Amino acid sequence: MKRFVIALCLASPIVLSAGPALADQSQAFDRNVRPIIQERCLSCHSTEKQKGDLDLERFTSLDQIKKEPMIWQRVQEQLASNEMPPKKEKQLTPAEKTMLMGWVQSTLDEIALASAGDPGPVVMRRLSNMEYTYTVRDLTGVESLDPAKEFPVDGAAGEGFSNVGGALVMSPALITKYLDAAKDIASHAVLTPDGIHFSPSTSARDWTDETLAKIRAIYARDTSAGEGSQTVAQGIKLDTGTGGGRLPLARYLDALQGRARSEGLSPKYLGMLREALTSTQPSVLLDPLRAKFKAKQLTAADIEPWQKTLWRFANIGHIGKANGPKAWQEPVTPLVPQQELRVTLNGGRDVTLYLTTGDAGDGEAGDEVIWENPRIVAAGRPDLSVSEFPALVRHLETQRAKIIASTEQCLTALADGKTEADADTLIAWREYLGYGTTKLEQLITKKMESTPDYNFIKGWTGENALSVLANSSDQTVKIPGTMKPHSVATHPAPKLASVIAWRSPVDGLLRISGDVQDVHTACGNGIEWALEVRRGHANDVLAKGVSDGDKVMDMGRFEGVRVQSGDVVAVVIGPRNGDHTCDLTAVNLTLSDGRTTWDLAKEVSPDILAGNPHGAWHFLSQPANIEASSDLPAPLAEWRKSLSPALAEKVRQHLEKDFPLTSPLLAHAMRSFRPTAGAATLKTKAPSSIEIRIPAALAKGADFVVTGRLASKTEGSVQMQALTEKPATGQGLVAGKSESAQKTGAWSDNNLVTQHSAPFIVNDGSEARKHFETAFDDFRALFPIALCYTRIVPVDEVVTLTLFHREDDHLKRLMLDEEQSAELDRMWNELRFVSESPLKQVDVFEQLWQFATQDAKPAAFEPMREPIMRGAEEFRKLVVDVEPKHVQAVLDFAPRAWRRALANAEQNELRALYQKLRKQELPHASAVRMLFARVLVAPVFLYRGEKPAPGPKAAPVNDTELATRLSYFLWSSAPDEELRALAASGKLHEPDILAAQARRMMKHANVRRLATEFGCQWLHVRDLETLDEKSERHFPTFVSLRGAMQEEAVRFFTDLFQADCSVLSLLDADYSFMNRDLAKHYGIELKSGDWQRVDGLREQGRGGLLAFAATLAKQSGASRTSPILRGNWLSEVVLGEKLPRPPKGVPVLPEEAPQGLTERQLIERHSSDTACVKCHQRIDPFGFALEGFDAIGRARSKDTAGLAIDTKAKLPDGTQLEGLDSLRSYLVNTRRDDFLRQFCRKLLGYALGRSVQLSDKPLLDTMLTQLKVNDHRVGSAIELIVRSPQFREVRGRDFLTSN
Amino acid sequence: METHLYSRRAFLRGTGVLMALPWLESFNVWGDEPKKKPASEAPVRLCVTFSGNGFQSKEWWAKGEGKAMELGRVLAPLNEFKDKLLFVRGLYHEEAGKGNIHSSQTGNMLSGAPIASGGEIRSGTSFDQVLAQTYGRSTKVPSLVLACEKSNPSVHKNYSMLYSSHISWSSPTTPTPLELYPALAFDRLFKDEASPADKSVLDAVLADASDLRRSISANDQRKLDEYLDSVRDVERRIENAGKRGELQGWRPTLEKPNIERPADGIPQDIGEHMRIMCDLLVLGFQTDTTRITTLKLNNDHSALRFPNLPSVQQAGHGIDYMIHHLLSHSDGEDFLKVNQFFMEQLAYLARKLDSIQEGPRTLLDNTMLMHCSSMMAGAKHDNDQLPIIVLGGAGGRLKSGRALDYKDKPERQMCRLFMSMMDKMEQHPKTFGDAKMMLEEV
Repeated sequence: MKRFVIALCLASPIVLSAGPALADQSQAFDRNVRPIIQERCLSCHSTEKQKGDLDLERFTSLDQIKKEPMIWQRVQEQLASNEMPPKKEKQLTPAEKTMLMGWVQSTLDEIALASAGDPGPVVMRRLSNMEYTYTVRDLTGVESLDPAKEFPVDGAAGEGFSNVGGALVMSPALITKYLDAAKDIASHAVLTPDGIHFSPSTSARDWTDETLAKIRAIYARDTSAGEGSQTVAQGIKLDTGTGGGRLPLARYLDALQGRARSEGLSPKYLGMLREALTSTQPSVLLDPLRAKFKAKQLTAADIEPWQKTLWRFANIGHIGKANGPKAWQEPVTPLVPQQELRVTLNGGRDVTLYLTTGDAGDGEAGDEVIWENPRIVAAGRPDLSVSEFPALVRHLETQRAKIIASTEQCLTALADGKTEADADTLIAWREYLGYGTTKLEQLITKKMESTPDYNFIKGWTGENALSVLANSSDQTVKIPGTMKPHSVATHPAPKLASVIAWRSPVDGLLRISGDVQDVHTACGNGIEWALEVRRGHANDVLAKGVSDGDKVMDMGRFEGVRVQSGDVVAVVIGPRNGDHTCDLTAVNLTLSDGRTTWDLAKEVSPDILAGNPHGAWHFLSQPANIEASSDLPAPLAEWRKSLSPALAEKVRQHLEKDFPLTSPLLAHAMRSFRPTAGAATLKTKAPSSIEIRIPAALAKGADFVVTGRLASKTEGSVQMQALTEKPATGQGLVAGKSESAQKTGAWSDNNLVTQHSAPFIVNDGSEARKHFETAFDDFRALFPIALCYTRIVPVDEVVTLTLFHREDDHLKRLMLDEEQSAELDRMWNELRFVSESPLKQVDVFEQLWQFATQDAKPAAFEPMREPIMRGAEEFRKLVVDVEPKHVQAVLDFAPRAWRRALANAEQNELRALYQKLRKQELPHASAVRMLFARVLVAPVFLYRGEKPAPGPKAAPVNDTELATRLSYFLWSSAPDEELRALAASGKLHEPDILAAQARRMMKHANVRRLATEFGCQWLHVRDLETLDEKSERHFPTFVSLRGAMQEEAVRFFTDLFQADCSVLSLLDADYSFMNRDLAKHYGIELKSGDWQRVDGLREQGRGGLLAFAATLAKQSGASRTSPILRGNWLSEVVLGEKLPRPPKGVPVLPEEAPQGLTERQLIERHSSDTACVKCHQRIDPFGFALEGFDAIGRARSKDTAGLAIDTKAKLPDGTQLEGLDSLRSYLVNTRRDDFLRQFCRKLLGYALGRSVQLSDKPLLDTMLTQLKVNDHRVGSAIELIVRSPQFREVRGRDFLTSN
Repeated sequence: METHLYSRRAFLRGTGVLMALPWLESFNVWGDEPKKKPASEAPVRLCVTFSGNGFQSKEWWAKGEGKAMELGRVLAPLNEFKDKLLFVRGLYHEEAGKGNIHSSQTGNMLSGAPIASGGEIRSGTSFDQVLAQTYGRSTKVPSLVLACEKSNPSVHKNYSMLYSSHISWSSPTTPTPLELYPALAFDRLFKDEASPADKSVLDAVLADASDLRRSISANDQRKLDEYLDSVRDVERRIENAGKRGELQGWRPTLEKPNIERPADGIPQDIGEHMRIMCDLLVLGFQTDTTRITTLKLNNDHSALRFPNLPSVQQAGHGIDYMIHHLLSHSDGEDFLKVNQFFMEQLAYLARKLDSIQEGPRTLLDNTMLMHCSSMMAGAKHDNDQLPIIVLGGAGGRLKSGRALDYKDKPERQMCRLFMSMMDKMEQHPKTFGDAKMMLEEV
């Protein structure tokens, strides 16, 4: 039985020095106290009986009491709560009780005072799981790390917190977990050329993305978004550059001209821009801008057109190739000695063209120009010089009159085939109506020299995929759609059928055979086909049908088909219902008259581009839907049906009214015109504008083309434009437009071609040219379009050789200061290092090379080889060179982790371990990671060890240890830079500095950890967010709200510390913190869903920790409230009362209230049991007063059975309670000191990591006094703790043995 | 007793053997070294299972012998094992009656040691860990300590709730950490940790700890020894990786695990969690990776609910309206239902063990599978007679199919049973806890 007593002694051994006061106590003990003890207590608590393990008989002197004061604390508690003597025994008289309690109290006080400030028994503490987690997060800067997630739960001890050494155990399994966790943490280490940092991720892929994001963030800071652009290569849409990285011109111009503030803008560029725009150095481009700037009217719109003229964007994928671009954003110089200008004319109406000549902004000297051979160019007819226009119009008007006059005659001739008529006019009619010679229109005119993939596939193409193609090779290829060797295939358009026609050169009987095959069945609805023999407008269909998948459709074998020379045999391939997708159709057609054989594939496939027509073969299109094709005027259409002469007259009448020169009836007349005038040349001077009117008849389907140049071969500078809109008068310098486009070709080519709409015409080598070049350079230097290539990873080529493209020289030059530039360079080095892109580049290059040798020009890539190989070589060297930096990074990390400087021996040991690991054939990175792991499983990291002074006496811990104590108290983590620096300088132990640090740390966001680990643990809601003790059936909303419930408590405590609030606000605050969901739970509507402070809670029946959903829910059952749990919690946890242990074998309480009884009545029935009543009358009233809240903390007026809630209760001292308000005011007023003392006790216990003991009483007393004179501000309590000896000292090394 | 301990510790430190024999600190005098068993005979295994908050008191009983044995309703799920079951009534722990209810009844469940209150954590080394530190050393994993409910990090009536969450204690101050994650338990048994780099790191930190030890107080040294011992133990395990039982002629029935590594995380369904843990400990026995396991089905003061078990008292619903601890206070039909659920897990485990043939006997026959709780009836918190059963035959050394009753006998310390069980595993301490002799009948 002595064991119990000795255990207590070990828990709180006190070093005593007897003083004079104790001498009086000693006399009082012998004279007054011992007799009462003997009389009233020893009948049970004698050495022999030891009831309740208590032997008071052995205390024969004050000295014995001093050795075991805790026994007497218990005596005091028993007396105070009237537990002893038992009710049935003879009671103490009031005088005896007062005397006895007074003596015990003063004796305990004397003892406490004599040992005040004892640091107490604080065993070396392992970091708790949360401390470990917070520390790791702070050391690595990675908030998402949760290394202790699968660790066993830490135990609590001392004052109920899990930061007490005794409860923080170690085991082999835990060591293994620490090792695994350390290795996992180390796997987050990112090795860079400059050292090491930590990342939330563990893969090089993610690290690369993180660095990319950092670079892009730097880019985004000084640039703005713009329009993106795309290119198409091999049918794939590719992004060329991005919208990002643009020069935010408008913002700078606004700032410089006082229209906006300059916050966030680069001072460097602001300065450069101001200087350039106020400079007096003449510049043809900048001078107009300067004038506007002076008037404060300069806008981005004044500058942007010139940016677009002077810059262009190339494909990153082409940079570095032979003849490739030098950069993504390339300068363009619109200076040419002469320029062909081309304007596409719209048919249907007369067009006026303006040939303007501007002086290019630099005066008119030498600005004589020549407009050479202005002409109309159209397919199927000779070029028409503007000088021919009058004659041509006259010719057409004559022909029109002729046609009108002979209308009836010609139509009769067509009808009977006998009547004579003018031959030319008759041809015009025949063509128009499709008579006589069979029309073969429209021939397909555009040549296709190759497909993107195959140069042996050539053919004729039109709009919307209309084409006739031939394969001249021995290969079967997919283009897509299969093309067999030496074959012909055709593709219709949505509204046009493709026709392959053979015009017979002979008269005779033919044998005709052939087949068609849909050779691209991946999509679409197939095709329809017909085999026809055409004579004039007559049309015999020999066979027709629709395709059936990819089946070869035999068109038949026709013998003895009579044809005359000029007749046509045609294969018509239609898209079928307008759906032309995937309609490539292979066509075979063979004709023979017995002597000669004509074979489509054989004749055409070798050289389809030889011409159209290709011998007898014609490739054309016709409307897919015949009904839609007739554009004849109504009278003529009617005539064609009946051929009646009466209708012929109507046709003439119609023509007299409506016969424009653009009518197809004049097509023959147009062709028959013979130009006579020859090419024209116009000479003019700048500034000037020549108007040219082009009749609609000529404009249809035609381009206007002219070449402009200077008249002299020497100086002069002009801008020449051909415009369809009348230009504004007086224009000097014109930005014009530049358009860049890729010409088709092999994918390895780079052939970006830029067209300017308003080129500067200057002679090569002229002064004028140099003058402009300088002006353009100056402009470009100031106004790039893009400052940097923000995409970084280019996707503008089918095969991307460049892994990361860096182009940010403009950004660095214009925007960044030296430090920012250096940071950007560092990030780029890191990107290359982490991604190992220089090494990967070699692989990519080799692959590309293989690829290029098959179907492109490998030579295009040859210039890239050497730089890539050299880059890889340099990288390999760099990787080895920076190895020592990484080892050093661990050596720098270790003192922070170990919370003290490293001894030389320790540094050497770490280096040696690295070498040993390398010898164990670990690669460098793995060895460095293992070195991290070694630091993180070291006992000095996992444990907070302190060096005690020799001997038995307590002494202050050193500054480094003190920094650790303070940091773990307030932040649950290792000291930060400032604390470390103060500790290193030996100042931290100075009380004022220490207190100032505590004040600083209280304000910091990290104090949230104190709120969580101390506040929530004290109130027993630390694990509410994972609490799984509620019935989902009864409380379906609980699981989704429990996190918010705990968060409210965390935020409340965080605010308490940060704002240095009154400790009493824990009870009576009129505010709390909630998000929308939690507020809704409380019956409060919030406008926004975010976490926020909500005031006026008292009116809502809330406020303070008593009404936290967290505490109310935690102190309830799974399905119902428990006034006992809540009352007991309030009494023990909040007020610090010591309740006796519940007796064993108490009567059973049914889990649900019997019919008609409220839960409260059920409890009352239970609590009236004599064994229980004494405690329950102390705790139950608190719980009853809180019955207005249900088991998850919602306000309620009825219980689960629908019975009215009664929140009235009477305390043992007679106080009447009703509901939360009265309970709160009882606590704040009557029980204020108990509450404050309990708060201080808990805070002190948490700060020290041990139980509060008798020797702490003077400190607690001071804390209470200080709270009262400081408006109860929590900071005064914290300050007293950190200034106290128990916080700052450690027991002597030999304390135990000396005892 | 404590003073005695310290002086003994000082002596050991002086002789320099403390590091090598850390478990000695909690023990008086050791008996004989393990005797070699006859060749080709399987070793005796120990599995202790625990459930908190006692049982439905009226239905925890057994009478009769062998197949004719009658069982109370709590034990009904074990009906098929009647002839392999030893029912022991009336044993108790003197010390458990002294402190608070719950916490101070559980922390010494397997040691009978006194429990410290206030800020301190101190109980006694539990008998399974005593065996782990001797008998268990011949396998890769000396003992596997599993749990299906995480421990409770608070202090209850001046006693740390560590006590109500831990029955297994590696030393008087170290509750053996619990493994809740099936996957990690699997790794513990079968993952090969023998990397030379790990070994180098452990060597280094061990040296750190030895250095550190010199500069700290005696109290702290005691704490640091937990670390030192743990690191040494891990190192030894690395060295022992792949090492099997030392018995010649006997071969475990499995060379390597025949099930996949369980999924990460903890199974949602408590029944599934328990069964996976049972599977793992069977696998540990079967491969002879460990011979000693402890499985805590739930805490004393448990907060588990059983929404998957149909309620008798609230027909149509699951037993979700009360947590296990409060349910135990009701002592009703639903609590009985939950008791049976635990016994079903035990039956599942026994069935698995019994299905594995090891020579003439089954694995169950070679095992002592003991189930216990820290009180008889949750409603009363009474621990004057603790519920306890042992399944299996300890390789023929334990006569089962019996119900023993010590209720009205003197010297009915629970620790006497533990001494008997240790005896079956060749450990013969002269005293253990508050017991000075074995239970002869066992």
